[in-house]
Amino acid sequence: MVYYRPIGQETALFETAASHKLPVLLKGPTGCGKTRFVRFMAQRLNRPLITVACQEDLSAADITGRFVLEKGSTIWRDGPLTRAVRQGAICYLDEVVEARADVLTVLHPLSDDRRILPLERLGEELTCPDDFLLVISYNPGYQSVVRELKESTRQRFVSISFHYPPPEVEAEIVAREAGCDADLAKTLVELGHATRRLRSHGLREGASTRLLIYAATLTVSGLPLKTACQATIVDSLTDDSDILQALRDLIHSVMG
Amino acid sequence: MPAPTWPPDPKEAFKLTAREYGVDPADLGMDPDDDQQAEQAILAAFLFKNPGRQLTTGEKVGLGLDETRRSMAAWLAMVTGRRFPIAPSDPAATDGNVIFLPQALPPPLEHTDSLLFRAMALLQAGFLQHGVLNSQAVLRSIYDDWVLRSCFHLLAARYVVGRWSAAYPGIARDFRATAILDKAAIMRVNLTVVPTQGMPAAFKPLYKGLLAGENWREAGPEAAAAQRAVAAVDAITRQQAAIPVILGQARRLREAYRRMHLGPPPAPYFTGILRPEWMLALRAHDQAAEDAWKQGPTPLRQLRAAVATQGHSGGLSRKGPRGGLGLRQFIKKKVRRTLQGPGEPGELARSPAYGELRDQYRSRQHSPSPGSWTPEASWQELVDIPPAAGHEDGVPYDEWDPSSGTYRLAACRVLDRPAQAGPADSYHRLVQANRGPITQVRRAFQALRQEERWLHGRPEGSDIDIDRVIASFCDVHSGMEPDRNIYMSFQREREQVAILVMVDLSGSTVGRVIHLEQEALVILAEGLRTLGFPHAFYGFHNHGPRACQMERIKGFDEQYGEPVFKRMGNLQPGGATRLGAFIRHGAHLLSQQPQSRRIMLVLSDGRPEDRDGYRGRQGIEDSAMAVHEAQRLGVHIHCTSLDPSTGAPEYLGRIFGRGRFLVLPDVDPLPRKLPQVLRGLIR
Ligand SMILES: Nc1ncnc2c1ncn2[C@@H]1O[C@H](COP(=O)(O)OP(=O)(O)O)[C@@H](O)[C@H]1O
Ligand SMILES: [Mg+2]
Repeated sequence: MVYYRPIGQETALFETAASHKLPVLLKGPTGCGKTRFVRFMAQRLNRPLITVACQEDLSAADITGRFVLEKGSTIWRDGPLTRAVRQGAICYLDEVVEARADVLTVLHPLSDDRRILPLERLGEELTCPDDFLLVISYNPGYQSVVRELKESTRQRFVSISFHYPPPEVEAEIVAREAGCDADLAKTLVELGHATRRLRSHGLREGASTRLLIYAATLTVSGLPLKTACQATIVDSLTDDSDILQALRDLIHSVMG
Repeated sequence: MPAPTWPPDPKEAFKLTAREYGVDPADLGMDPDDDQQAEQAILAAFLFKNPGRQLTTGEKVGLGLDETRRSMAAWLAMVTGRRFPIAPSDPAATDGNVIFLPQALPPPLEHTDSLLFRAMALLQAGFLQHGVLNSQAVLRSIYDDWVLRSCFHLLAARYVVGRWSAAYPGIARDFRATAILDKAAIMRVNLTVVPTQGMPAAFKPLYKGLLAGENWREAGPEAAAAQRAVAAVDAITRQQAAIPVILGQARRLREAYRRMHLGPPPAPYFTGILRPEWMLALRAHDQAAEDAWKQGPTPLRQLRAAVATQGHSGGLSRKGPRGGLGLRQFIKKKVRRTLQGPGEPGELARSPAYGELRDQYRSRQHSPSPGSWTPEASWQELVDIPPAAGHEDGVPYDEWDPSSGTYRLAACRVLDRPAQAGPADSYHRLVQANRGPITQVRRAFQALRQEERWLHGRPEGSDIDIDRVIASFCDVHSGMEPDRNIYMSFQREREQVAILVMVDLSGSTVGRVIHLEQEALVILAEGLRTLGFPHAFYGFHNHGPRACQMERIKGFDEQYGEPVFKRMGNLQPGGATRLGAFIRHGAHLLSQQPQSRRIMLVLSDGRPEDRDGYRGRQGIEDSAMAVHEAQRLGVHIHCTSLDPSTGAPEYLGRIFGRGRFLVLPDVDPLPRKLPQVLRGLIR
C-alpha cells in the first residue's frame, strides 16, 4: 500500500480528470510528493503505472519505440509510452520539459480529444483505451527560460499545483517515512522551511521534503544529526561557498 | 595620564569629555552645575565634533564585513524570514530597512569574529522584527532624549536577545558565546569608548545576561531601579506588551538616573546604536503611517473605543458624545479641557512636563553650529558615502545587487562637471517663443511663494491640530507614548525649498524629446528665477558604470547669466541611463543644501538601462534602492516619464513609489506640464 498524505483537493481533482480521460499536469518544486502522488493514484484507480524520468537526451523514439537488432533480424520494440497506451496504463513523464522537443510533439495528439499515438515507423496509429492516462510533471521554479513549458502544451492539461506541505503535515510525513520521532521531524522541517526562504535569492530551490526525509533516515541509522544535515541539506543544495556557509550557520542556529 | 575611571558625577564627566574633545567648557557657555545643561553640553561635544574615537576607520583590521556580508545576508534571510540589505556603518544600526554593520571589527582578527557579526546583525534585525522600533511615537521620544534612548536601547536589546534565544536554541548559545567576547563588551556612549572599570552600580544590572565577566549582579540601593527594569522586561510574554513595558521602564530608569545625576548608560559594542532619526527620516514610512491613521478603519475603531471609555469615566454616556456634538468637536473640546486646562492656548507648551521637550527643540533649532545634528550630518559622517570634493575621476557610489541582496561597493562613478556650452541665442529664442507660458508660470510660482497656509503638527501654535490629536489619542489608548506635536500655526511666507531638476539626456531622447525637454527646462528656469528658491538643473547620461555624467546646467550656487543660458540651450543627448547612480548623486547634492525640504524632479523617457547587465530587474531594483536612500536623506523625489510603453507605470511605481511619478505618453504637453508638476510638489 503506497503511503500518501493528501494536502488539498488533489485526489478528487485527479480522479475526476481521469474519469473524463483528461491528461494531467503536476506542477511544483522537486521532492514535494508528485511522484508519490501518482503512484498512490495509480493504486487507487487500480491501473498499472509506467514512469519515465525525462532527461535532456530523451527523444521521441525512446518513449514510443524503435527497431532493434536481435538474432540477425530487426524487430520492433515498444517504448514505455506505447506500452502504456496498449495496456491502458497511467504514463507518468517526470520533468517533461527536460526532454527533447520532439517528445512534446508526440504528446500533442495524445493529449487532445483525438487520443491517438501515431507510430510512423511502424505505419500504425494506436487509439488509446479508456484507461490510458497521460500525466506529466513540471517544476516551474527550476527551469531556465529556454526550458519553459510551451503554452500550446500547457493548455492541453488539467493542472494540479503542488507545494511543500504545511509544517505540521510535513513533519508528520518525515516522521512516518524515516521512522523518526516527532521532535527530530519538527526540527528538520523548521530547517527546511528556513532554506526555502532563500529560493531565487541565492538558492534555486530550498530543501525538499525528500531531502528532509534523507536527513532523518541518516540520523535514525545512527549518524550525528549535524553530519546528516550537512550531507543532505547543505551539500546537496548548492556549490556556492557563501551560501554553504550560510546554511551551515543556519543548522547551527536551529539545532543549537 | 592616569588610567581613566568612571566619572563620578556629570560635572566631572562633562569636564573630562570636554577635555577629551579639546573643548574649553567655558567656551560652550553652559553651566556644568546644571545637570541638564551639562548633559546637553556633552551631547553637543559628542555630536558636533568629529568623532575622533571611532573604533574603525574603514580600513581593515579585524574580520571585514565584505568577507562575510553575502553569507550573512543569506543566513539572516533564512533565520528572520525577511531580506535585509546589509551596508557598512559603525556602530551597527538600522534605518528600518537596511541593516548597517561596521566595515571591519576591531583588531585583532579572531575566529569568533563572524559570531560577533551575526549577533550584531540579528540584534538589529530583531529591533524591527520584534516590533520594538515600529512606533513613530517611540522613535520621537527616544530621539529627543539621549539618556532615555540609551536606557531604551539596552532594555530593547535584552528583549530581542530573549526573543531570538527562545526561537532558536543555537542562537541562544551564540548569544551566550558572544557575551564572553572582549570585543562584544567594548562599551560606548554614542561613538566614544568608555571604560567599564568604575562604572556606577546603578548601571550594572542592565548588562546582566547580555555580557559575561565583571560582576553585573549589583545589589545596592542605587541598582534597584535597573534591577526592576530588567526584571520587568524579562517577564514580557506577549509582543503587544513589549513597547509599553520597555518604554515605560526606560522612562522610569531615565528619571532615576536624573535624580542620581547620571548620564546615559553606555552600550556594549555588539548592541550597536539606535538611530531613531534615520527611521524618522524615512518619509515613506511616515507617510504610510499617517495615511493609515487617516483612512484605515482600525484607527477609527480605536478612536471610538477611546472616546467611549473616556466618555464613560468623564461622565459622558457610553453611547458616545452627547448633545449632537460631532466627533471632532467633542475631541476638540475634550482635549482643550484635559490637556490644556481652561487657560489660553499654548499653555501646554509652558507646563513643566513639556518644558524639557521644548528646550531640546530650541537648542536644536537654534544651534549656531554649521554641522548641526541632523540625520544627514550623521549619515555623512558615519556611512561610507563618498565625499564629493576633489574626485577627478568621479565620485564612487555603491550599487544594489538584488540577486545577492547586497551592495556592490563603488560599482560606479559619477562625474559632476559643467555641461557643454553652445551659442547663447538658442536660450533666448526659446524664451521669446514661450512668452505666454512663461508669464503664466511666473505668476503661478509667485503665488506659491506667498501662499498662506496652516502648518500642521507643530510643538506649539495658535490652534489645535485635530488630526494629530486624534492620532495621539489612539496612541494613548493603545498604550503608546502620544505624539505631542499637536498644534497648528499659521504661516505667510513659505519655507524655502531646495529643488533639483534632473533631465534624461540618454541616446533615446534624440529628436523631439530632447527638444521638448529643453523647452520645458527654459520655462521652468524662468519660473524658478522669480520664485527665488535655491535650485539647480542637471542633465544625466552615461557610458558604462565608470563614466556616469551629471552635466551641470545650472549649479545651486550659480547665478543666471550667459554661461547658464549657453548650457541650457544646448543639451546634447547620447549614452545610457544608469539611473541609480544619478539619483544617488542628486540626493547627495541636495543633502548639502541647508533647506529642510528638498525636492528632486527627474525627467526621463525610459527604463534604467546600461551595458554590463544594468537593466531589467537589476536596473529597477538598484534605482528603487537609490530612491530609498534619497528619502533617508530627506529628499522627496518625483519622476515625470515620457515612456509610452504599457509597462511604464509598473516599473516606475516600483522605483519611485505609488503616486510619485507621472507618465506623459504624449510628449507635446511636457513644457506646460512640468511646471505644474513642480508646483504641486512645492505646495
Ligand atoms: N504528501 C506526501 N505524502 C507522503 N509522502 C510524501 C508526501 N510528500 C512528499 N513525500 C515524501 O517525499 C519524497 C519525495 O517525493 P516525490 O514524490 O519523489 O517528489 P517529486 O516527484 O515531487 O520530486 C517521497 O518519497 C515521500 O517520501
Ligand atoms: Mg519526482
